Amino acid sequence: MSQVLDYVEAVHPRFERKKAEDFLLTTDIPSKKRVKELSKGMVTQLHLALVMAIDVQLLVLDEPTLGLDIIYRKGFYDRLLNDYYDRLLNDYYDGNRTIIISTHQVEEIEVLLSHLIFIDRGKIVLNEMMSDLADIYVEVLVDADKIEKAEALNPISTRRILGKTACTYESVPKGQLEALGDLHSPSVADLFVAKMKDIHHG
Amino acid sequence: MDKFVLLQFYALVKREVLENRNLFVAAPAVLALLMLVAAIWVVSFLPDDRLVSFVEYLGVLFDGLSPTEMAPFFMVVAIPFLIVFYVCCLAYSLNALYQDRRDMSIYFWQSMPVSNLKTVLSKVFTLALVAPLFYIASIFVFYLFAMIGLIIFGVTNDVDVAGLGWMFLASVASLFLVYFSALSATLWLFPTLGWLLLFSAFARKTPLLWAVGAFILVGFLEGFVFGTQYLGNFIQSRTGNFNQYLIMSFGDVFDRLFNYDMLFGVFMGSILIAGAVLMRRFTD
Repeated sequence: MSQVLDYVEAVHPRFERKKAEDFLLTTDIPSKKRVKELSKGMVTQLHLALVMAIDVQLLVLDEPTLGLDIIYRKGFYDRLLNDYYDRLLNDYYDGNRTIIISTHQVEEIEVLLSHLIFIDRGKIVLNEMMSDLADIYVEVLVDADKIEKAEALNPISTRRILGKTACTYESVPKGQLEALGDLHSPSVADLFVAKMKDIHHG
Repeated sequence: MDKFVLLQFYALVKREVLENRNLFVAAPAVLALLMLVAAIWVVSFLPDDRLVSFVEYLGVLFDGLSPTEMAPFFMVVAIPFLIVFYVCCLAYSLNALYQDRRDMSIYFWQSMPVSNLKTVLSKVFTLALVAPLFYIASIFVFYLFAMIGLIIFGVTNDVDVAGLGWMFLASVASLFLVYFSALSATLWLFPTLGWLLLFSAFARKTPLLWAVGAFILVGFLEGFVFGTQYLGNFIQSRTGNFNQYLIMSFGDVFDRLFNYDMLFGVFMGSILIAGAVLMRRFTD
């Protein structure tokens, strides 16, 4: 393990070894084991510990927690968030640090995001700030007697939940929707499904 | 040169050595051990008086020769090491750009600020200049133990062992010839190594099959279209003749390393290695 740390320390000028060692202490990787002897999940944990200890302005994480159990996944994203704000509070932070996370496990990262981009077969189908989402997209649990009115407003997606109909709208004034039922913001996962349905089924 | 660049390159070379210690360190060490055991086994069958006369003979054999003049005689011991090195060169080149793609660790390595050019250069540098050091270290240890054994035997049997010290110096001098021979072998094999590296960077599975298959196909097409066999003859000349890279005299070092055939091979190999760098950039 120490050989990997030596390597990254030598090739990456912005690697903080102490930080990587601290991250590794929070994993279940035995420090004496050779990398080849580690399970797939452990190798991913090791990789993440190394990556998290690199102070870069743009960090791209492609499915970073694939294959990890839920406890580690949650811990990883908590640390990622804390690390981001730690740097934010430090004097050396220059305000330009960006982390791009590409993942299908959108529920886990929803609270971390400042921007959201959906990509479908190479095409960007949604690109919004998280703070604007609630204003643009609204989900309505439509009362049974108002379904026709709801459909007349062209929802991008309609689905059944516990006997009710949930319609997702894009850029429809909330004033028009309030009369149809309870309003709330769709989760990122629901919004993703809604956008994909909208694109593929019109 | 920037100190960081040097340290980075050192780390890349160290990684190669650590990841291929079986080829670079264990293989010559095991061979040295086997040769030592074989030597002890043979000696154990010899009667003491034959052994005494053998040690005395060694003392006078090189009488009047300087260590550099004696050194070529020791190349006989180095030949098995050079054969193992030759095989390791081929095995290493075939796996060098394939292994990390197979175990998917390439995603980690490529997430570091190290270009494909630096990665491939570090591999070629390790093979040509660093790996032979481990081979000569193993040969040195072999000589050391053999010499200690001979001295102990000589002293306990009242044989004059003064000549053995001179001989040991000659054996150490021969290590330079071994190093230059290994370097010469790598450079002479450069087109072959480049070809293997190219398919090591290209193949998703079985790079050996791809490398051999593509060679046969290109050779067949050459024969079919032009009616010639230049490729086959070229590769045969690069691999078949061991005398091409076995340097037996210090006076030959420069001529053997810097001649037209050698430099042409290095040029051809470099083109193939550049292809391997590009291939690594665009595959996966």
